[in-house]
Amino acid sequence: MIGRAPAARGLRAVLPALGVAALAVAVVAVLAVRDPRIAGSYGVCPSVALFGLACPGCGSLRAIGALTRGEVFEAWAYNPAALPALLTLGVMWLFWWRRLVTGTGARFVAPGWVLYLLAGLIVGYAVLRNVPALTPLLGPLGVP
Amino acid sequence: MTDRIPPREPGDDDAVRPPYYGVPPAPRDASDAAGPPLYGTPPPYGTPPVGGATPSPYGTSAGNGMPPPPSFGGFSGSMANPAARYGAPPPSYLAWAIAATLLCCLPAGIVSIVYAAQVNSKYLAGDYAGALAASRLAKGWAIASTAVGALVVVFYVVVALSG
Repeated sequence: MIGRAPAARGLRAVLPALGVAALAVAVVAVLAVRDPRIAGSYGVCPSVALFGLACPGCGSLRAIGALTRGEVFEAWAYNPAALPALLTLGVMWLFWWRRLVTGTGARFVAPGWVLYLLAGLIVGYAVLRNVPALTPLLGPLGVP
Repeated sequence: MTDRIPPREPGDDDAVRPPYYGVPPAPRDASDAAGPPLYGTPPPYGTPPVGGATPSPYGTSAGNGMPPPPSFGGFSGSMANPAARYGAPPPSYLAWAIAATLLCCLPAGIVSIVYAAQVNSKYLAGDYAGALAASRLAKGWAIASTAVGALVVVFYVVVALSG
């Protein structure tokens, strides 16, 4: 799947995907060097700082930081949504790369209701994370 | 990531006249090609090619020496994918929206996902012009969420550096 782009399309066709990959690598490298699990190393998520509430993304930085050290379960504890999201984004990146290389459009179009469901799940997740009884499960405020 | 094609205007062919199967559009002047789209994919079927490197419809050679993409006709015959009737699906920017929502946590990301859902549902319903409009909105919200996220990052860096 990953290979040289056809000469007719050239390197420029895949530059966006390469740029995103480079950005991801850079973020991972920074998090590997400077551990986000050390309190205050990157500040606090604005939603926690402003409202004291955990947003759907809270804990993602610490989760990726844990992943760079191979601690998958700890990553899950910081943000259970981060791991599936990262896997999904990785797969989508591969499909994106193939579309850019071949110059074709998407061959699979997810039904609209799936994406509406996704949006609803994320909103519901944002609510449930802040229910005190569920916070230990859904993190990250329950993580010491 | 520096070169961009000019954004599509509402007056573009593909917005007003959804291309149907059997109506191959004449490629526009190849000299106005500014390159491939930044995000998403060049619509290969029935939509005006945006660049000289874009494959012309139906696998005919555009004169650039590129073989036709192998996926033409390879839509597995499924009626669920109307690509053969309406052209390639407009980009929904879903990955961008997911990244903005779950990694940066921005309400704008949710809006972007909702518009991505509109892109796909309208496209699958045959409303190609509506799908294109939703695609532009999804892109706009994705850009907005990214811009806000970048502002927050800059703010944090400034605070961190200043003490």
